[in-house]
Amino acid sequence: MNPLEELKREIESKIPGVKAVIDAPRDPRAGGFLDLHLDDHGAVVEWSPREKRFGVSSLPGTGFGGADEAYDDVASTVLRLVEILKEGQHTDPKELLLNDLRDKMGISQEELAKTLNLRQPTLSKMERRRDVLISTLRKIVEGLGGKLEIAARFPRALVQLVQFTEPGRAVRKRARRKPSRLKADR
Amino acid sequence: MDEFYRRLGLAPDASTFEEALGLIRRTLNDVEDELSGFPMNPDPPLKSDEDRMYPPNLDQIHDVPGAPRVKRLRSRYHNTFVGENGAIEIRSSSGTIEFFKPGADGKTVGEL
Repeated sequence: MNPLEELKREIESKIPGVKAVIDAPRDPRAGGFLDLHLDDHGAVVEWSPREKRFGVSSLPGTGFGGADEAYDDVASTVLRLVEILKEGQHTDPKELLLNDLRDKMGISQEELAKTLNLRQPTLSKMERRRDVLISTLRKIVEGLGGKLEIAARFPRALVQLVQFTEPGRAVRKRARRKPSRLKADR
Repeated sequence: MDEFYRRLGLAPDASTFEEALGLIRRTLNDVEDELSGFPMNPDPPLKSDEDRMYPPNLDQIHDVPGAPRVKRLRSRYHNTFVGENGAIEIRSSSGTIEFFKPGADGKTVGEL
């Protein structure tokens, strides 16, 4: 039994009523997809023979990008699919509120507040604000074990703005230039 | 995706299956080179933190029942149908047609 068939069998036993369809080419070396639907929730799983991992993405999704999440074995993939299909969770990590990010990482407000030397109600207010100091945001992200990055996207480039996220990075002063004299003044 | 579809629509119609596949790959790679901010990885991993799109994988080619002149390329959220006349049709996983373009003979995938 190939990994997608094994996953299909497991997910059908864990979630009665799930619609699971394998979409794989004839060549078993090429991997394939498992499409899953339960009521209004859906997910797509890709098996990568090269990496020997399952890629999991909730539906709907757009674009030709990579999987949102990857799992090494059938058991952990099934656990995640149960959350997506039965609880309606989404895999896309690109859109999260601060409190959702903290929850996703399994860190309570009390724990993070203690790490940041803050009172829990203060952190609670920060998480609900629509505008915070960049230095405050940096501390929160670092308290969660991450690193804040700020980027500016232009039509032809993505530029990391490091002066706001790397405190040690000094802003280079522009040399003050003397006003140039007109040739006639010489 | 909008820019990819826009450029794909403006490109000259392909006349063979191989030409159409090349057009899809070239167009998406050009758009992503210019707009994604990430260099192309010739061997992209299953999951990546880089927000860059890649064309459908050539090892995911399927026959299409009832349409022997058409092949289907499966990717995560799409099915890309390519005709032997160079016609292209891209459908979302829910079946909605997001893009179509006839082959050089003027026929679309649905007419093959």
